This record gives sequence, structure tokens and C-alpha cells, in this order.
Amino acid sequence: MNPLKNKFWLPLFFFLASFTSLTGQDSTVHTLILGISYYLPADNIPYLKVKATEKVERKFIPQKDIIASVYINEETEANLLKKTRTDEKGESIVYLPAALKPLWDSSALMKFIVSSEAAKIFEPASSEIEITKAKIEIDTSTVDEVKNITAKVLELKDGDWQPVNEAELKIAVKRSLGILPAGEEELYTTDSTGIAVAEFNKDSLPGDDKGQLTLVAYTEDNELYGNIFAEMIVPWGVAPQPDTTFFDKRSLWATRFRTPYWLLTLAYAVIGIVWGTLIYLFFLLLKIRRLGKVSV
Amino acid sequence: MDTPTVLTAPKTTAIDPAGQITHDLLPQPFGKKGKIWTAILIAICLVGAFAYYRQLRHGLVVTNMGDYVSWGIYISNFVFFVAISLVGSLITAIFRLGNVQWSTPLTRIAEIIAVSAIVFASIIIIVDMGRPERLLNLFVHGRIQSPIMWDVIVIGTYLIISLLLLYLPLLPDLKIMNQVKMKNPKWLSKYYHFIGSFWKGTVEQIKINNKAIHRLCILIIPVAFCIHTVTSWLFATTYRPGWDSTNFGAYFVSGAFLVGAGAVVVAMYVFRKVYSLEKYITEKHFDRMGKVVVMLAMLYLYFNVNEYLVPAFKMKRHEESHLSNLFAGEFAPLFWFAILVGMVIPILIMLFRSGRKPLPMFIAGVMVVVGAWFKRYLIVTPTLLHPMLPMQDAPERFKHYFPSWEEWAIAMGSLAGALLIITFFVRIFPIIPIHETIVEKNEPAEK
Repeated sequence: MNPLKNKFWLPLFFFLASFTSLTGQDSTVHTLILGISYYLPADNIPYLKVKATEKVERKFIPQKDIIASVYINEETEANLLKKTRTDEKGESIVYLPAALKPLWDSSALMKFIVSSEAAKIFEPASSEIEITKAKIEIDTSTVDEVKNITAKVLELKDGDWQPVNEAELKIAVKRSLGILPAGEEELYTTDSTGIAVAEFNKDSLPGDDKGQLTLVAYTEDNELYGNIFAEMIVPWGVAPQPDTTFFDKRSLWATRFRTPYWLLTLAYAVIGIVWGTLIYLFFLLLKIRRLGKVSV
Repeated sequence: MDTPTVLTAPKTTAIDPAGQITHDLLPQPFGKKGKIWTAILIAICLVGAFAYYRQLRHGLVVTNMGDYVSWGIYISNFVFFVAISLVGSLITAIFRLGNVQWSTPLTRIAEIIAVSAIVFASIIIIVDMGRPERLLNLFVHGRIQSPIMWDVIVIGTYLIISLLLLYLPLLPDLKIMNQVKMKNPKWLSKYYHFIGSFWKGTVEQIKINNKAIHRLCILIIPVAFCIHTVTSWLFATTYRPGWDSTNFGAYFVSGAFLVGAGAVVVAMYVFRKVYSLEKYITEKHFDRMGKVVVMLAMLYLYFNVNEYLVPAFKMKRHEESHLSNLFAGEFAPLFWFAILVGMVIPILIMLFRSGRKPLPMFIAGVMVVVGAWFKRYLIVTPTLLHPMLPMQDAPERFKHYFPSWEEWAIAMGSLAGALLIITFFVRIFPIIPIHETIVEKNEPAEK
């Protein structure tokens, strides 16, 4: 047998073996984790968020392009809210269609089911949540110059809004890129009247151009009520005062009427020298032209 | 009226070298291949024009540019054109001032490449604007503090200088063309007469012309350095990974010299082949241009090592994703293509005498130009995909960029347009200076 051939058999074997093991890995069925959460934002338009992930080495990796069906109360064609596809974050938002309002109004307790069929490398998955309709009312009061934020959690029971005891919620100030706790605590618990009070301790917090802040009270992944939000705008912030002291100074970032003198001098000197030479050259060209006509 | 001296070149080939040179170098009508070539270029330009019409009608939404990549293939093309235009100053001015006589047949090639490139650099920057009429705002509300304003000024100035540097050395040739009977349409003869009939070749005219050309050669060098340095500052004055460099001006200028010289090599080969100019663009020219290109490629490679190796050694957090993306990520194939094909392989080809023959030089020249185009794309796009302050919840499509067909069509149309200018120029004017060639051929005898 040709020894040269033997030399190449070994790497080829390893290559094929690794390739087979790789493709073998791809053919195994993976477990998809499908989740569904309920949201009631401050504008009172409820929606559901579907999230598809896969647990790989203790990390939840978002799975995009997963087709999931979302149902209300029971998994039937009539109760299908939407067939949705997850985005690159593995998420998809589903709003409740207006046609299902009678069904929505019929009960204080709602069940949402999400399911996906076997697709790509994943086996079928499903998940469900039960939500009791609830809302948060937010208010403020000032006692002895201490600003308080009052949040009241109410649930729908027997057709009435009744206070919820021992509900956990957060009371915070909305900022451009996140949420800032409004008081000392991260988390507040309602009393028997459904009320939680946070003492606002963020003095001199920059607000919008009128000095207004947006207060927010919300539950986060509450087992019974989901994620419900309430907001209120209060004039407790400080209106930012733009620094105009440099407006009249000449700088590189000023308007064109405030160009630094050194730049003006340099730029116009360079432009002047170059264009002065060019004008001189045009003059020479005209001279050549004139000489040509004279010599005729 | 001046009676034209009819140079009947073909009849005097054996005894009149000047007549032979004139006959060899006079512009020729397009042959069949020339017509097909021109038709292809016009077709590409028309597709580009249609794509631009769509962009004007629907706005920049027809492009794939977005909030992250707001400068895409158009600005890459702009930088490429500005770079290639720098060759005018290298071959024409630097060689002329350095009294490098072997460069005479290459000067006009270099100048027309410079003019066509700078024309399309100006056009493509307007194409990049969603609302081209707002260009006027630069002049009405322009701030001299802005590098964009400097770029507009310097590009305009460079275009004027390049046109003058193309026109003034052409005057003696225009006299010859006005004298020789050529089978030209009437309008072309009138055109030659209009732009060159005043040139009589008197001692005084020659003296003034030489003086003007000399001044222009001095003037164009700092302006050429400015045009590409200012273009580099459009990037370097912003705080972004890949652009935040004090080296950018020199890096851009060295790259521009390389691509320009590569383009001249390609043009030399094509004109030599198509118009049978073997007597005028000799293997000696390729050999010497090869040495020039090797030197420029090594210089540019040196700047590339500086630009990439130093930040890679430090690997600052913001630079990390940008550099990893270039070295081993999404843009790695393009990056290594640009480095290897645009610099390393041409150096290896042209380093040896056998590689400096016309055909290998042509292949190496094409590699330099193609590599340089992709290099400009790599300078612009990957950096924009890695902003210092990423947007919150930026959609996935912001994080990738591939030009739309309209962008490709416009970019290719602009490249075809630049080639079309060169093609028409060669049809109308001699691509090798006739008068200068005659004078140089006669010089040893005179001496």
C-alpha cells in the first residue's frame, strides 16, 4: 500500500469523525423554554409578552423566529389571540384583539396559554399563566414638607375593585434610561387598605424642561396580577438650566459668527494664498491667449 | 488666417520622427471594442442614474443605511475617489519637479485619472445627501470650524488646479491637433480650435506656460495633501473606535498614493495594449512604476500595522469588538482580502524584476485598486457598527449593513462614470503628450 496514502487517512478519519459528531449534535432535540407574561401599562392597554429561550450552560439564550400560538382561557381555535414569531431577543408582544372584549369583560380571572409546535431543533413547548385583573392608583401628598407617594393596589372581585393586602410593588421615578427608586426601599408592601407609601427623598433630581418628574408604581412579575403600572407627573424635579455662559465665546463648537480669530486668520490666509496663486495663473493663461492673438 | 500645416505622418514615418510620433499618439476614433466598452459604461451609468432617481423620489429609505451606519458605500466610494485623485500630484507634480523624465508618457494618464476621480468624488458626496438642494446651506450657513466645510473648499480648489494642470501642458498638443488633418466631426475640430487656436508656440508663450505649469506643480502638492488629510479628519475628528487616531492624515495620504499609482499602472497597460503604444510606454516604465508602487505599498502597509497593531495591543474596551470583528469576525474575509490582495501580494509580485513586466504589473495594479476600494469600505462601515454609545434597544437591522441594489447601482454608476470621462478624454485628446515626447526624443540630438 502506498505509504503517502496512509499519511492522509488519519487526518481524514478525524475530520470525518468530528464532522459526524458535529452533525450528530445538531440532530439532538433541544428543550425550548417558553414563557408568557401579562402587562398592564399606565395607558391601560394590556398586552402579553412571549419569551422563548434555551438553557445552555446555565445561561438562557434567546431564541428568535420561534412561532408560538397565544390563547386566552383555553387552547382552542376560537380562543386564539395570535400566532406570533419571536424577535432576535426571543420576545414577541401580543395585544388583545378588540373582538375578544366580551370574553375579556366576562371574568376577573383570565388564563393565557402559549404553545409552540416542534420546529427546527426544538421539541414542542407550552406554558400558561392565570391573571386576576388588578390596577394601581397612584397619588401624592405633602406633610410637613415631606413628599409622600401613595400607591393603592386594587383587584377585581365580584365586580368590584377591592384593596389587596400584602401585595409587593415598586415605587420609583422614571428616568431616561431606567427606573430610580423614589424612596429608601426597593420594594414596598401594601397594608390591609391596599396602600403602600414611599417617602420621596430625591431632592434636586433633574426633571424635564418644566422641572416635572414621572412617578411610577408597578408590580413586577406578580404571580397573581402580572406586571401592572401606574404613572403620575409631579413638579418635584429641577428644570435643567443650560449653561449659556460660553455662548458668546469664540470656540470651535460655536456658531459660524463666533469662529475663533486664530482659525479665521489661518483658514483665510491659506485660502487667500492658494486662490491668489490660482488667480495669478488664470492671469498667465489670459496672457498666453493674448500673445497668441497678437502674433496672428 | 493661419494656414494649417498638414502633417502627413504616415508618409514620413521613415524620415520624420516627429511625424511618426504625432501619427502614433493622435487620438483615434473608437473601434468596435471601444464602442462596446463605451456602451457598457453608459449602460451602467444609466442604471445608476435610475437608482438615483428612485433615491430622489423615495428618499434615503431606498438605501440600507440607518441610524448606526449613516455613511455607507457612498462615503466609501467618496474616500476611494479622493484617494485615487491624489495620483495627479504624484506623477505630474512631484515627478515633474523632481525632473523625472521617464514619467512624461504617464503625466496625462495620471492627470485625467485625477480629474475624473475628483469630479465623481464631488458628485457622490451630493448623492449621499438625502436632499441634494441642501448643499446650498453649506455656503449660506457654512461654519469654517467644520471639517466638512474644509473638505468642500479643498475639493473645489483641487478640481480647478487639476483641470489647469491637465489643460496647460495640453496647449502645445492642441496646436498640433489643429494643424493635422484628422477625420473628426466638425464640432470636434471647432472645439480644438476654440480651446487651443491661440497657442502659437512662441518663445514668450512657452516661457509663460512653463512658468505657470511649474507654479501649478508646486501649488498642487500641498493642496493634494490637504484634500486627503482633510478627508481623513472627517473621520479622525470624531470619537469612534477605528477612527480615533492621530495617524489618520498620513495613513490616508500614503494609501491614496498607492491606489493612485496602482490605477496609473492599470491605465498604462490598457492604453498601451489598446492603442499599440509599446514604443512610448515601454517595459522600462513598468519597471520603474513597479518600484514606485512597491515602495508605496510598503509605506501603506507600515501605516496599517500602526493603525491596527497598536490599538490591538492595548485592546481598549470600545476598540475590542471593532477590531475582533475585523480580524476574526464578520468583516475578517474582507479585511484580510484588502490587506493581502491590496498590499502584500502586489508587493511580492513587483518586488522581483520578472513581476515588473507589463502583464504581472497590470494584475498587481488591478489587485491594488480593488483592494483599496474594499479598504475604504472597511474604514467606513465597521466603525459605524460599533458606536461608543450604543442605542438602547437598537433594532437588530441597525447592527448589520449591506448596501441595497440602489446603493450598488449608484456606486457602480459613479465608477463607470469616472471611466467614461477617461474614455471620452482619450477619444478627444492624446493620452501621451505629443509635443513633450517629440522634444524629449530630439533632446539628445540637440545636446
